[in-house]
Formats: sequence, C-alpha cells, structure tokens
Amino acid sequence: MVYILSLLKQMSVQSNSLFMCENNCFKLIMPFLLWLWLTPVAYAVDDYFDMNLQDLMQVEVEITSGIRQRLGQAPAVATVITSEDIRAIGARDLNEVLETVPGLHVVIDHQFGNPKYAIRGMVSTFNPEVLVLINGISIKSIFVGNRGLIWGGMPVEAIERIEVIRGPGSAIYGSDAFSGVINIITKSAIDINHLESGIRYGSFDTKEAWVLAGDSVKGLDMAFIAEYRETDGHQENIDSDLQTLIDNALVPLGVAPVSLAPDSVNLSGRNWDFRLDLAYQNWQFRAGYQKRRNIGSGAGVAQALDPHSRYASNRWNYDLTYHNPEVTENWDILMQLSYLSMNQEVDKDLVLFPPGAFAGAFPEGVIGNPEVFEQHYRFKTVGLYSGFDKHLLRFELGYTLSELYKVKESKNFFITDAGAFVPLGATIDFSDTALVFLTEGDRINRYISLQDQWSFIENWELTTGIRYDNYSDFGETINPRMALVWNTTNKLTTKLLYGEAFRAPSFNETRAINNPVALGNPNLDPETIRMLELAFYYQAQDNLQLGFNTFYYIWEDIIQFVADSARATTRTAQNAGKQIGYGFELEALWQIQDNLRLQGNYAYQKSKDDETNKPAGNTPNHQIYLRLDWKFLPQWQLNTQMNWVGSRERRPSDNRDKLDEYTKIDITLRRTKIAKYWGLALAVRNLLDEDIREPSPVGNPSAGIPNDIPLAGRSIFGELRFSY
Amino acid sequence: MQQLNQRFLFYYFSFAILILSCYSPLSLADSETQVKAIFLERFTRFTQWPSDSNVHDPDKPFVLGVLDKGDFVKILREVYHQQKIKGKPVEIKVIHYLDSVLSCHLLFIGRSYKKELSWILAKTRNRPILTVSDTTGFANKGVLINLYLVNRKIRFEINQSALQRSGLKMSYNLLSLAKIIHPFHKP
Repeated sequence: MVYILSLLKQMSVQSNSLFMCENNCFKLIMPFLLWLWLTPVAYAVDDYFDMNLQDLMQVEVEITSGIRQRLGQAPAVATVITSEDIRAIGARDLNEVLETVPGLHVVIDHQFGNPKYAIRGMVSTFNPEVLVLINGISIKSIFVGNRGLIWGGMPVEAIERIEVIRGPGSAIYGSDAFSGVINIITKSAIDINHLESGIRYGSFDTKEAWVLAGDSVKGLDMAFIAEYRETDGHQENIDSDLQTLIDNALVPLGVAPVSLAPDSVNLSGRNWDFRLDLAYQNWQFRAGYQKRRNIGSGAGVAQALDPHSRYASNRWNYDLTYHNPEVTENWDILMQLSYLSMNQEVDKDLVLFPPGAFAGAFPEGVIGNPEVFEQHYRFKTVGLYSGFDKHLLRFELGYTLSELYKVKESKNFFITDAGAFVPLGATIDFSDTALVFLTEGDRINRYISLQDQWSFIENWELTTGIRYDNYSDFGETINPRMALVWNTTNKLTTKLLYGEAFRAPSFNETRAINNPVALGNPNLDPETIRMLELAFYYQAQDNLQLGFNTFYYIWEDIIQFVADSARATTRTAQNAGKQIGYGFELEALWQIQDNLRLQGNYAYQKSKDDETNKPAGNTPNHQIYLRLDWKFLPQWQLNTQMNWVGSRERRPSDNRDKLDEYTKIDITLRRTKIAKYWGLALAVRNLLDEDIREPSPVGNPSAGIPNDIPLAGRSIFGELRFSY
Repeated sequence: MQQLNQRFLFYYFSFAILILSCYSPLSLADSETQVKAIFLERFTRFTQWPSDSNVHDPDKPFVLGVLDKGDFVKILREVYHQQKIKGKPVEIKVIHYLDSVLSCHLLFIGRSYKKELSWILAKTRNRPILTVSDTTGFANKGVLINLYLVNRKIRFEINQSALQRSGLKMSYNLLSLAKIIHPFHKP
C-alpha cells in the first residue's frame, strides 16, 4: 500500500509539472471543449461506408458508436489497435502506432535509426526480447534476434489490426515472447473496399504511395497490397561522435582531426512492400516481399557519422494455411507451412571511421562490409478440442528450421587482440575464410504445447498452459503460464496472471568470431523471465472504460559481453545479467460525446540491475499518452495526441546525466470523403518542435555520442486517398 | 522558439474556429439501423450468385426486397440512394405480395413478419435469394443470415445448410466471421 501511495505521489508531481508547462494551450483549448460539449454531431452514414466488415463488427451501435473492445476478457494484458485507429492518429509507420501502447516505448537506435520496442523497462542492444509476428508468424532474424538490422520501418496501410500482449508468452509462442508479443494482422479481401489507394508527401522529401485491391470471385477471396516509401530522413545534427573523442585524444600528438561531426544523421531509405492474400474455402495462401534500398547508417554503425554507406535488404515470406473450424463436432484444426527469408547487403561501403582515421592510416576510412543471409522453414499444427464440458483444450505441435546459410564480409582492416585497427591497404573479401566475422550454421526447434481453458465455476475461468521446446544447439526448455479470470461483477473483470518465458541466444551471441569486442559463446543458455501480473478492467459507464494492471518480473541469465579474465582485452558473451522490475499501467477510454472521444494511458515502471542495484536505464519510468478524437463535422475528423516520455536514467556503467523528458504533440486533420471517392488529410508531427533524444550507447571511458541520438523536429505531411 | 510555438497554436485554433463557424447541427441518427443497412452491402461482396442469376446483368438494378413494418425502408432508401451494390444501382422494393420476393436478390425480413416467416421461407427456399433478418430464431428457421447484438456490437449467424440449398456461395472469410448454425456436412 505504501508503495502504491508513493507511486501516486510521484505521479501527481509529474503530472503537475506537465500541465504547468502546457498551461497556455489548455487555456486556449478550454472554450472549444465547452463548445464541443454542447454540439453533438451524429456519425454520418458515409463514415460507416468507409469501414470494412470487421470494422463494422467493432462499431458499438446506439449512442456510443465507435468504442473499441480494448480492455477485454482475454487471459492476458493486451491492447488491440485497429486500422481505423491507425488512420485516425495519422500514423505512417508501425513505430508511431506502437508508441500509443501502455508501457511500451519505442527506443530509436543509433544504427540505421532502428526501433527497439521497450516493454515495461526491458530493452537491450538489439531488442531480441520482443516477439514480432505478422499474421501469427515470427519475423525474427536469427542473426541478432531483432526484425533484421536493415528494417527500414514498416508502413501501415496493409495493417488491419495489431494485437500487443505485454508480459511473457512462451507457453504459447515459444522463444522471444519475453517482454511482450506484437502480432500484426494484415488486410485480406474482406478488409478492403475493392480498390483503395493514396499518396502522401511530407517533410524530409518523404514520398509515399499505396494501392490495395480486394475482391471475391467464385468463392476465391483475393487481396493485393503494394506500398512504396522514399525519404531523405530528418537532418538533425550529431554534434560530437566517437571519432571526435578519438580526435580529441590524438590532436595533442599533432594528428589532424577527421570527425565529420557536427553533421546530420543519415536516415535515407527507399522501401517497397508487397503482400498477396488468397483464400478459398478452408485454404489460405499469403506471400510478401519487403524490399529495402538506399538505407542510411543513422548515426553511424560504429557511432562515427557515415554519410557514405548505403544498405539493402530483401525479405520474402510465404505461408499456406489450412483451417477447418469443424473437422468434427468438437475439433477445430489449423495446419500451417511457412517460409521466411531475409538478408542484409551492402550497396555502398560501410565506413566505420571516416577517411583519414587513425592518423591517416586509413585514407578512405575504416571500411567493413558484413552481409548476412538467413531463411526459416516452419510447420505447425494447432488443434482446439471442445468435447469436454467447461473445457477448451488447445494443442500445438511445431517444427522450425532456421538457417544462416551465407555470411559475407569484406574489409580494409584487421583488429589485433589488443583492439588496434591495422590497415590492410585495400578492401579484401574475407567471405568463406576463417577470418569472416560470423560462422554459418543452422538451428532446429521442435516443440509441443498444451493449454486448458476451464470455466470451473460460473464467472471464473482458469487457463493453464505449458510448452516444451527442444533446440538443436542449446537443448530443452519448459515454460508454463497460468491465468485466472474472474468476472467479479457485470462491470468488473479481475485477472491474475503468471508466466515464464525464454529468449534463445542469437547467432551473433553464439557464433561471432574475429571480433575481440564481442566474441560469441556456443555454450550460452537462453535468457529467462518470470512475471506476475494483476489486472482489472472496469466498465465504469456505458461510455467509460478503465483498466489497471500491476506487474513484477525477474529477468535472469541476461546475455552480456563480459571481459575475459584470461585475455584482458577481449569480451565474450555470457549469461551474466539479472534485472528486476515492477510497475503499473493505467488506461482509460471515454466517449464524451457521440463525436468526441478521449483516451489515454499512464505507465510507470522501475527496473534495476541486480548486480549494481542501479536503475537498468534507457527506458522511461513514467510515460503519459493522451488522444482526443473529434468528429467536428460529418466526414471531418481532428485527432490530437500527446506523448510525454519522462526523463530516463542511464545504464549502470553510464555516468552521464539523466536523459531529458519530452512532450510530443501530433495533430491530424482528416476529411474522410470528398466527391464520394476521395479523402484528404493534413498532419503536423512534433508540433512544439521539441528536442527529442533517444539514448546513445554507453562507452568507456565516455559515450561515443555524448549528446544522444536526436529525433525529428516539427514536420508536416499531406495525404490524398482514393477509394472505389 | 517559445514565440513560434505560440504562433503555431494560434493558427491551429484559429483554423478550428473557422471550421466551427461552418458548423450546422444534424439530427442524432439511430446508428444501429444505419450500420445494419450497410452490413447488407458487405454481405453481398462475399456472396456469389449462380451464373444464371440476373444479378450478373449489368443493365438490371440490384433488387433489395424489404418485408418490414418499421422505418428500415426509409433508412435503406437514404443509404442506397447513391451507394451501389455489386457496382449496380439499388432498387428498394417494398414487398406487398409474397410472389414478388422471387425477383429479389436480397430480402430483408423484419421481426414484424414472425408469424408469416414460414410462408415467406417456403417461397425463398432452394432459390438464390440472400435472406437477412435481425430477429432471434429466424436463422434457425431458415433465414440465411441473421444479425444480432453482443455488447452493442453487431454479429451475425449463418444457416449453412440453408445456404447450401439456396445455390448461393459465400466466401470463407465471411463464414469465418459468422457464427455457423446448422453446419453443412457433405453426405
């Protein structure tokens, strides 16, 4: 209790200061809020006509139109975001959508501007601790455990909805369903209005275009989606980089400085995303291709600015699914075969340190071009059995073969055991030699999972699940979960949840060689987590939903690169870390008027490194998100969202001051229908032009980029849509 | 910078005032019937009529028959005044004589026809007429799609055996969203 009170006290202090800084705008907003209160506008028929069948099924009829089933009965703490939400907030990329989820903050990395989804204070270098699925199929790379280093963002027009489960889910999903699971469901024929397309143009010379086509012919449902994006990326400056630090050390010795800082980050990119979805009777076939080109290095792969390099990636996926909900009276069977391939390729040399680096030893800069190719074959079969009274049983059996089948590298240097860069005089191809940075290999995972959902007394449901995984490289693991859901009253649902999860080591952690800073270790064990959660969902009024949950977790065997005792200069991956965290999330959705909705959440977490007893760092302790949707005229929508991210502690070994808090305000004005087929939107991101920074990595003796990674200032875009 | 931000806010709210000044009040519509009216069109997208049906004739309108004593006809007329079904203009046909149901592609049967339901279904049975209702028990009796509410959200059930006999075909996507009653098992 004392703990909760102190949290609330902290919360009120934080929110006071927040509202003080926004005082002026609130004064301005108040009269309009009052005006709104007095002027109800009904949903127009045309609003519904823009919706697909699944969206229509989500519309609450009568006076509270549009409320979403967000806080539900599921045996988990989950958030569902629909395509309509995505459109309302004017999101253009998955990152912007996920930032609205309680307890989730998207940390932007210095390499390629890649997103890291920090859930409940858990985030590491490559962010393998979150499982991202597309249509229930993992898109995880086996190389470093993320979604591919050349991610390049994910456009949102193909997305029908996103389900985010916070907390461990290995009992169902297996490896990496650790801090959370993000399942992205793409649109199928039923979600598309014949033909939908659009173009968008905005700051940083960002051009986007998309086409969605869906139809049903002779019982065959067909959907095809193509999306294109090209951007220069924002041009915020890095004032000092790792090369600046090296220069500072060498200048007294008479060496000329070569750092390119201050200069802008490099976030260019050219993306194509294609998706095909065919469904006939019980069969569904999906295919996808994501092509990434002209990807800039962000703030530099080695934290030294690199305007020169350009990366590329190709990701292909196919899946064939057979689903028969009524094989017999009591059996629902699903069988799925899927394939995913992804790679990272270098289009223009990756310059780790700029030309002239190391006292002129590298006239063209330190060049290193790692390239990785991998593929995954998966088969699973899921059975649901409802033959026992009050029980729903779920069985799953699966097999995954992951292959890192090609590793290439060319470089013009060589690192000695003491960590010194020695020039080779030219860029030499080390592919298929013992000097390449990573060894090729594969991994087989076989698993079985069982789950029972048991309504043992009226209003009480107990879900218990367990999954056994066998991995060809590190062995076995068993992960259980338990969820007790109690419909306490008509309006209140209480949930008690416990889950365990594991995170399989990535190949970078087990197979990296010839890199004295980060050597792989084939004897690693998976990381583990145990989490306990208590959640409440309360339908306070017809138009007001509240949710509250609190959690406690222990994350163990965290894989870290630890200095070797035998050779003082090298570091090898070890199961060395432990992190403990707790916190709560509060969410609310209030349909104030038929045409006005306010929703938001407040998340608090405190995570500490067990060894040093210091904050785990890099993620915000407090986060507030508010969203106001106002349909002020038929076919007009105005969305305002505010995201306040509290100040952030540093990593235990990082002695920099806390990273500053920030407030980001976005506005989207949308006219849904013009001359029947057209729609228009105008949007401003980061309206207040706030200086937003994400943490740069800790360094020794000081951080390579001391002033962190800047994100975009104020930007705008306009959008034109066509729907037939 | 501070000044610039205030200027931005000023423009933003001036714009809001401009829009508000154009505002004209609308009556609060009954969203349930509106949404139901739109569901009818959505169903047709994923329903396939037999090749000899005149629904494929581009010169003929889509005939939406209504047996209802409430104001659903009015809403349907409003909704389908401009909106098309299967790319064709929609003819809303209020049914006065039972025989005229035979010319409908889609027939909505309101709850006020509960007593006459068996007579109506005797006419539509084994014919490619997409019957839709919003009354508990109607699908059980043989209406192909019945709309119902769960937590104020619209759901639908499909009588698969009746569907099989009608000669209409529905796509897997539509069936997967529905509650299936009287599932059809191949002999």
